[in-house]
Amino acid sequence: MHGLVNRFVEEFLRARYGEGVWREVAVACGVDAQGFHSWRAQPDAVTARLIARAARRVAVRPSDLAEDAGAWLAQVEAIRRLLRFGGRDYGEFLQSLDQLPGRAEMVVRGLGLPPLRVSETWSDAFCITLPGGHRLWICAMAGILRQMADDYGALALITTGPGHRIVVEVPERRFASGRSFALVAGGSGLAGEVAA
Amino acid sequence: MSFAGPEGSAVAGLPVNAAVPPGGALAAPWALLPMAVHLHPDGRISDAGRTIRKLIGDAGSFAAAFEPLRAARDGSPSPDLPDEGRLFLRLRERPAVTLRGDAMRTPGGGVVINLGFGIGLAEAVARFGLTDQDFAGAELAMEMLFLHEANGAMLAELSRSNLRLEEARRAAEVESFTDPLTGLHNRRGAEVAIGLAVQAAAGFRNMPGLPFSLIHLDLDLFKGINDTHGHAAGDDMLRVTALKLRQVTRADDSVARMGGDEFLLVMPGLVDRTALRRLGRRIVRRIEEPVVLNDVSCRVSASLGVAMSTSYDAPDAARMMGDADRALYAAKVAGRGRVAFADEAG
Repeated sequence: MHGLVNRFVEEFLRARYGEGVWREVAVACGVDAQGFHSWRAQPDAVTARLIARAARRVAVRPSDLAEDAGAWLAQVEAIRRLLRFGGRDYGEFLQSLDQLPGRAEMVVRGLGLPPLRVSETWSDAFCITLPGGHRLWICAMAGILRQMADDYGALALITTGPGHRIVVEVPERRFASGRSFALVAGGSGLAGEVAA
Repeated sequence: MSFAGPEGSAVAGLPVNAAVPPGGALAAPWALLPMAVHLHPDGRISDAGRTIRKLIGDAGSFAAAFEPLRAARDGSPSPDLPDEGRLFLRLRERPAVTLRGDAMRTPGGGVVINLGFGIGLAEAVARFGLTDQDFAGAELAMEMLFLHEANGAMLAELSRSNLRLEEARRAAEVESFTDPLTGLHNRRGAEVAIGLAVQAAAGFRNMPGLPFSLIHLDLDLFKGINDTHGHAAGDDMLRVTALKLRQVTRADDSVARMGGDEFLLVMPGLVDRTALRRLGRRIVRRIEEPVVLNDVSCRVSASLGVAMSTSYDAPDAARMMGDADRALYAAKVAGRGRVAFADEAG
């Protein structure tokens, strides 16, 4: 797994549950509690072990923890902004999701996000399939989609599974006003503040 | 391959000449070209796309709106109209914003120019509050902005990562020169300090060198503490001794624990025999002050051997350490709590 993915899990655990929980989980998984190196790969099993351990520690299901992690990630200002480049409204954002792995790869070579397909099944519903995507990543993706609906001010109902599938029903693309997005803003790092 | 795509054919198919009223027949292709400007033969702007209009405000002519960045070629029809072909312009009102594009003559003697943003895209977008709608679908502006943004985020993460490595490196370096028990330098740290002092003593070019002294110190009666009160008490005594040594030395002096109950002090600039003797006695007195360990008042003393760099033609680290050690031995033999000088020990 790319170091940045593990960094993401690390920062999420720190932000949501505090330094103490992160350290406990890291030590239990045999990981340096100081944190991962962003550009040093680790076996995929390390990431899954981190999530499993952390989920047990804070008493939630691993899938719920992964979804929460996704929602958290989409709130990190730098990531939120990158995601908002996907489209002018939530519908456009969903339609352009199939470009996301390619865009991510262009920025971070070797990041290795699983490919995904988007189809509009019936009116106002999108089906996102991630063939070969890890269950936890699909949950995290669902969390990202949930948070971005909020960000765009869209009303959306998001369900995961069965299979490698996320279904997004969007009865209202513009339900609320959403958060503002200017194409160019002051820079902010990956570890930057999560916007309130 | 020629530009036969939708954009190319739209330009080629433009029915642009002065006779055609703005809007009307132009409206359809102009919606595709938000950054295009149609110029009359005299340079007046007859029509402008919605985005370029945001940039040039209400400028009425090519010359009022733009400043060409490259000199016109000979034979240009008029200074008020751009040459056909590739264009590099800057906004008159906002010189920081540069544009690039192409100009094409129209049958009526006017010129159509279609522009795009160069590398200054992000700045222009911020300055004019442009949005996705302001760019033609075929433009790579959004991708460029995405990369600009991603680049910034990646650099932030990279520098965070580098900072961590640097901190770890520094911590490891300090650790490798530090005695974990007392926090003083260890033997390696002492060797580095002596090496630096020898270099400083040698001087640089015409600069005079800075002489220094080595004080080799050994606790007296320490073995008794270990034997009577245990090793934990012995460690406490070493820690207290380290603290005392730090208190009687200056910030520039280096204090190291060489192992066991042996300490080494490197004193830059201090080579006055009287001052050194006074300092040595003060150290002994300070170390002889009783220390309470396990509710029992304990006492140790110290013997000191001193070597001064001024006793040598060319100070050498190993030789000076050997001499300080011999002076220490002489001090011990003479009875505890004494200070001996290498050049007096014989």
